[in-house]
Amino acid sequence: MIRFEGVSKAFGATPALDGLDLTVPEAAFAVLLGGSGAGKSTALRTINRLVEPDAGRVLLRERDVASEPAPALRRRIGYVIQGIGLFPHWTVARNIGAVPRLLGWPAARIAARVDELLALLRLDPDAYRDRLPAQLSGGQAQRVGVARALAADPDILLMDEPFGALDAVTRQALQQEMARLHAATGKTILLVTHDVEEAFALATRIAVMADGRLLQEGPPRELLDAPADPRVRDLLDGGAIGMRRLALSQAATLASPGGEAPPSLPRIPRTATARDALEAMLAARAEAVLLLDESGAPAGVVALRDLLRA
Amino acid sequence: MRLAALLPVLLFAAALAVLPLTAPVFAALFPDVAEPLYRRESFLSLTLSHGGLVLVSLLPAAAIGIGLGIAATRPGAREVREVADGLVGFAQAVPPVAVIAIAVPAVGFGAAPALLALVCYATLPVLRATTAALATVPPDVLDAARGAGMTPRQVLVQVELPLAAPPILAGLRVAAVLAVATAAVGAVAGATCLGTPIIAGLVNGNPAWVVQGAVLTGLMAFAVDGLLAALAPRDQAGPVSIGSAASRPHSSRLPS
Amino acid sequence: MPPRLIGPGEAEALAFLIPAALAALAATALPARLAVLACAGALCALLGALGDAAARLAGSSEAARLGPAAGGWIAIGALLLAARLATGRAAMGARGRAVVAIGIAAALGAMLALGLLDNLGLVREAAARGPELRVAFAGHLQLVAAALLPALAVGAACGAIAFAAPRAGTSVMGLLAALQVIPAMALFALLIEPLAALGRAVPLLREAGLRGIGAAPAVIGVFLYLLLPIAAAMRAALGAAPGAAVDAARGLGFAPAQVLWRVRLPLGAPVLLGGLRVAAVQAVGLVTLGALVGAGGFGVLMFQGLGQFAPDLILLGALPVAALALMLDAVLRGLEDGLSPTPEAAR
Repeated sequence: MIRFEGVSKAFGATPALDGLDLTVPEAAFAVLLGGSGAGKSTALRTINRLVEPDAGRVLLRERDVASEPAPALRRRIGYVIQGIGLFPHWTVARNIGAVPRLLGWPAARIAARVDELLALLRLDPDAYRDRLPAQLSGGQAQRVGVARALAADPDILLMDEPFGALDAVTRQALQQEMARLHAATGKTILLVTHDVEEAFALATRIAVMADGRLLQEGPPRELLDAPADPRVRDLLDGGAIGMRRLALSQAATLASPGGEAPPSLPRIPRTATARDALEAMLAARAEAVLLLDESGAPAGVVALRDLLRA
Repeated sequence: MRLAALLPVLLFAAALAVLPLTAPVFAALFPDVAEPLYRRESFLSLTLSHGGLVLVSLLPAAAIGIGLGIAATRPGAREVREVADGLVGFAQAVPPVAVIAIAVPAVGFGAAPALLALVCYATLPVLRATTAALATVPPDVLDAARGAGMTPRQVLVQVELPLAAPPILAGLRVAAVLAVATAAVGAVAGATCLGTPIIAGLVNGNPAWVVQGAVLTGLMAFAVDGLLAALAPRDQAGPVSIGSAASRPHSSRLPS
Repeated sequence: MPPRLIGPGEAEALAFLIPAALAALAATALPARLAVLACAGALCALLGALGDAAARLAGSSEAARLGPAAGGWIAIGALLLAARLATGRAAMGARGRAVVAIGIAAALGAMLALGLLDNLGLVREAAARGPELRVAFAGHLQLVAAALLPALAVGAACGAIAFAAPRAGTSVMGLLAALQVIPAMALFALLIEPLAALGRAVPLLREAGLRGIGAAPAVIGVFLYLLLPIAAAMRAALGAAPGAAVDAARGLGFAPAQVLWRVRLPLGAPVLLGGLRVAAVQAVGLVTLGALVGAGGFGVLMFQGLGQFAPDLILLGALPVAALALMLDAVLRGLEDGLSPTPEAAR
């Protein structure tokens, strides 16, 4: 759990954080969302003390981060940045093993951990271990960056616009990868982005910031249904709110038993979202879709008007 | 490529070996001169003495230059940076020969004024190369290093210095070449070096000595340049070529 | 009478070091602009005190040569450095620093005019050698100009070639860089004999003043050294315009010559001027060494002083060289700032 208590920070005369209060629950995939200058990166960097607050404090698992030396603290926290910041003079393996080396792990344990992480991020250890960062594509480099952040099995993972510099296809692939990693490891992840799509694709909780303050925090659906501030509504983009809401709803929750559905209905898996259901209807010019369970048996029908309940 | 860089070294060695045998040649070239070959000291001992001046001054110059360069690039060291800038600017305006001349009343004739000027001027290219190279280490790499939990010393030793090493070595190479030139000027204050035959020749109206001293001094500069070029690790990390434009050899030459 | 130095052993030394230390403290403790004033004031007071001390020590002796000893020089150096630091802290920029420098120079001139410093050895030496100093000054400037102007033309041409034909340019720039490796003293010395031979072979050149010993080897040597900074600056200046700006100009229908004159050169002008500045400062210093092979300039005084073991004469040769170089540097830096197309400098 991460808790900000009245955290303020100014750079010269420019305030970056203005009394931020925020709690990120354990095991959440939390996204700090806001425009540029909202203070979200500064907030993130107060957690690993790359920024020291002027006032207030930051608690990590109920312990003030200022209570231990910054290097020791940072070795327990994974950190991924947009520029990736791989050390250009070290191989992929040495980059990933950076924090374990700082912690004094034996060489064999580091080597095993490096291979494990490369495999976890779907990079062939034999092919990538000894490469230099310049020999990687942007997406591969960022996978290595994530592996490096996870190397010493940190309590939490901080990600500062990690996919901002990648092309759309690579970005989406890595977003799916992160969702999978979060589900697999159960780590608390705090990700900073200005990209609303990214926030909704990844977050279990979203915190919207502006002018160094928290505007609203909660599950994505709550922000859509009850924006606490006009700026939250603006940021979430009025035109897309309906579609986002559909994307957050399971089609199965809107289905009716269906009975004898006409065979011409389009079919989608029961795990699909309401947005997938709408897409299938529009594509087939049909007014309803048939949900199928894992065995392929009909599991209900979603009609066009059912979507209004999403 | 490495061997080609060593060619000037061989050329210098050959000249050093052949020159003592060339008295008849210089007698023919300069018929008016009574003593066609400089024999007050052997060319080898002049070379060793010249090389000694360069080596003795280069070590403290490297230590001061790199140390000051590191200090000047630490966060919050604006004052150090300003002092370093001021010193470099002032030293560029004053030619080494003036420093040697001014030092004579204070430290006397001989090697001392040359050494003083040598340390001052050899420090500058190292200092400039170090500050420039450290300033070009990408900020996201530094951010990542700190974020990974490296202490400031670990960041410096494991990340900054390895990345900045090639330009710093290039700065050392410039410093060494500059030191060869400054040491030669030291002859005007009585330092024993390859500049000595030049000064002796100019004073005594013996152009043969001038040529002998000048040829050896020039070849020695090329030899030192070639030697350090051959020793320098060349982009072993592949992508790392930071600051290469800012600190190319020769680009930060000072008047000598 | 041997030169007596006002040294740290004497009571005056404290009188010099204390204001210097106070000023250095002031430079860090006071508001920046006030600190600049404090340093400049302390410097003038220090010089005045030196002149006063010299007057008392000299008494009626005309032959005495008095100058500051180590303590005094360190104090002067410390004050100059403190002033430079304070100007940096005040973010005064090149123009502000030039104003401060002119102010200090004016104060120094006033003290000299009022005769406050007349008893300092350096000032006596300068007064006694007035005509020689003027000759050295004129000679130094002539030598610098004689090397710098042709180097500008040839260096700029080399830089343009290097920009237009990178392949040929690499060898041209490599050659110019190799020239830089040759120590100046060796180059000057090596030029003597070929030039002497040329003068013997071509009487016309000899009549025009070309001799082995004299200005020729120094001017040619300095010319050769200046080619690299000018060529490198020219190449960089031509490439300084952002690719997008050049593309846009072409797209708007600019002819190649118009792209050069209206886009590339205006945007590259500060870079070119920076090269000129480096070359000019180098020329002032390199010419000094030319006195060794018989060229004129302040180096003549310096080597004369070295031969006679006369510190004041050495300084009389060295200080104007440093002042000239620093002034050229400051003036050309100011011009560079003025030419820079960034909005900050345009304000």
